[in-house]
Amino acid sequence: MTKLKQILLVPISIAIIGIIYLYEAFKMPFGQVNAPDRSFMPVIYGFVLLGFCLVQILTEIFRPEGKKEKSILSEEEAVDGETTGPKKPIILIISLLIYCIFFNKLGFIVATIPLVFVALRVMEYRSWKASLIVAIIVTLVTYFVFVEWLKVYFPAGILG
Amino acid sequence: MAEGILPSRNFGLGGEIMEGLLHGFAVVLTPQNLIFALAGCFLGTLVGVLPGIGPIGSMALLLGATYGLPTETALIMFAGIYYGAMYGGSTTSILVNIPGESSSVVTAIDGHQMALNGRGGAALCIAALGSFVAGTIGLILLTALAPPLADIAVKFGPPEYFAIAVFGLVVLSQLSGEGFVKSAIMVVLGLIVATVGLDGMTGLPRFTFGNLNLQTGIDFIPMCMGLYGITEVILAAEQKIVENKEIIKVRLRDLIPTRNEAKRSAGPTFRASFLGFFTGLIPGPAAVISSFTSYVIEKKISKHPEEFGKGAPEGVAGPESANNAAAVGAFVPLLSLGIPFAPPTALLLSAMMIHGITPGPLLIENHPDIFWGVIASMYIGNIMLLVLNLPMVGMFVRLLSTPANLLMPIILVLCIIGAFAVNNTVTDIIIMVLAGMAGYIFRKVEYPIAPLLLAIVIGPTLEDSLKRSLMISSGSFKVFWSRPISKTLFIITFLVVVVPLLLKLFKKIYNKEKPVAL
Repeated sequence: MTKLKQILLVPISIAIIGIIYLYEAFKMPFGQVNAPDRSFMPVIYGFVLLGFCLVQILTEIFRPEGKKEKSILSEEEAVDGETTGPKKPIILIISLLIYCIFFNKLGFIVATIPLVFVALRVMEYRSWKASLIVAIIVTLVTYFVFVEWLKVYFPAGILG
Repeated sequence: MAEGILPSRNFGLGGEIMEGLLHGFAVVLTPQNLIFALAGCFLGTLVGVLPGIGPIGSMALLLGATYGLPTETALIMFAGIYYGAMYGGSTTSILVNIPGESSSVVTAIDGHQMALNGRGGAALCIAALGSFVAGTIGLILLTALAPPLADIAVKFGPPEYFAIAVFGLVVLSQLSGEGFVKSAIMVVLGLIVATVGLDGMTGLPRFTFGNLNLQTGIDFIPMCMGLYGITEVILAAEQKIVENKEIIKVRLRDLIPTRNEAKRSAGPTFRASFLGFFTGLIPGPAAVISSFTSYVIEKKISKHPEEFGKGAPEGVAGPESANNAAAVGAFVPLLSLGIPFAPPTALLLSAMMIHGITPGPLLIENHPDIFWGVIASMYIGNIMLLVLNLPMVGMFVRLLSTPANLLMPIILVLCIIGAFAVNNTVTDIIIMVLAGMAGYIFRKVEYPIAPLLLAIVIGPTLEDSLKRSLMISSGSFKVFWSRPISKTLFIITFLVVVVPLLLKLFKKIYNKEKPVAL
């Protein structure tokens, strides 16, 4: 993908979100200016978003060659120092999504220990054994501080 | 504490302020509130020291710790976390050359040079004392300004609130540093997120897709946890593990600045206190702007401009004082108008809402315990921070040697707890994860996150006040021009957008007309 295409990807993606949002907004009543209804503001926001996205797209297309923004998506120009690629963030995000699914069923303690363990492994924390011990300690300590001391509610899940 | 209007004894505004402040001290000076104020300052500094998280992330992470506390205690602790985190950032800037937060970037320039020259302790002391003096001056100004402004704001109607909301969002977009259009896109995205839930006027659901949990809207806290906390964790997962940077050790006796260093720091501290406070009133990243402005001013007026960048004490005292005063200044719009102009105060607003308090012009009348208690706690917190920061600097710095691959999973758990505890629903954890993914992408493509977050908070005010204004005026937009405050604010907003564009245009024309040097 060329650099320009990569830079345009962001405003185009946001514009698509704007179009879907507008589509949903138009399903609701708009009302009148003196009696605005549910979709009054969403319709305005949707069009304003599309307008700004268009300006951003045009700005990028007509930006003079010397002043082109650096492509931030390409790995060789990564801004945040040396990276290991997208594999680890993807594992972490998938783990978090799975965690959300099982959180209520398993409960805080049972669901959180594997999540912290995966996070520690993804971040290359010492050994498997050390990661497991740390995962158990972190989960239990936070559970007792927040649930027992600060009285925050958590689902007990299978332990309840 | 009983809630209600303080007995008015007609001492005039000054007398009322003094009376209120004394009442605030009476609220704070209980063993429980003092302990939690100290805990807030300590935790804030502790987390603020960690690079990358910053005050907003620290506050979002630690918000969960305040849920089970009484309202005044929770807000006093949370305010402590806020200015504790602001303090914490300077330590890493000076000793490791890693700014704990963006407003400490400038401090690193001369602060770290001082540390390399063996004056690290003095730099820390100058930063802490400067922050203390600026914080106290800021508090005196806050104490004097917030009540009269709240008195004026009581008379505000929907058009004024709409004008303030528009002004805040536009100025924020202009100052966010990633370009106006990018920031404006983020503002509108935030406003769109704010429309999810029940419509304020009709009470009917919008964009909930049948999910009952979404009817209360997308909460600011999970969004904040996601955009700051989870994003940071994902970014850390992607980074290659690097060895910890060398940390310069500081002994207690090294903390005392020389007479010359103290003399050179006094003026910048005083000037930056006022500069920072008034910058804090403006929407946007006031702490960052004020610290940069202070650095530039001090360099311009200094007798030793050549020393800047090589370890000038003015380069530490000015920026550190400015960012702390700005942090206090940002409380003025929050406490008197109920509108936050920066993400940290937006978090404070959320903390208040969680405890059933609606900030705004009536806060001072309806909840004097909260209003004056928080302000009084900041005076005490300022002293606590000075006592905490200097002798315990070694301990805070040692935290930097905690490996990121251990720290980040802990932050992940704290984020989950914080997000879930708002409404006790897993929907908030899902929102947090999605916000984290979005934040990761936005960070990669350099779209600013702060405007999005602030728009989520200001969105309901903006929508509600516009709709009410139009209903009052039978659909006429003239209502915004017929009222002096909204008219003035719209003119300023217009100028904020147009003047930079015109300046750019003139610069282009001027450069074209200028003959090219051969």
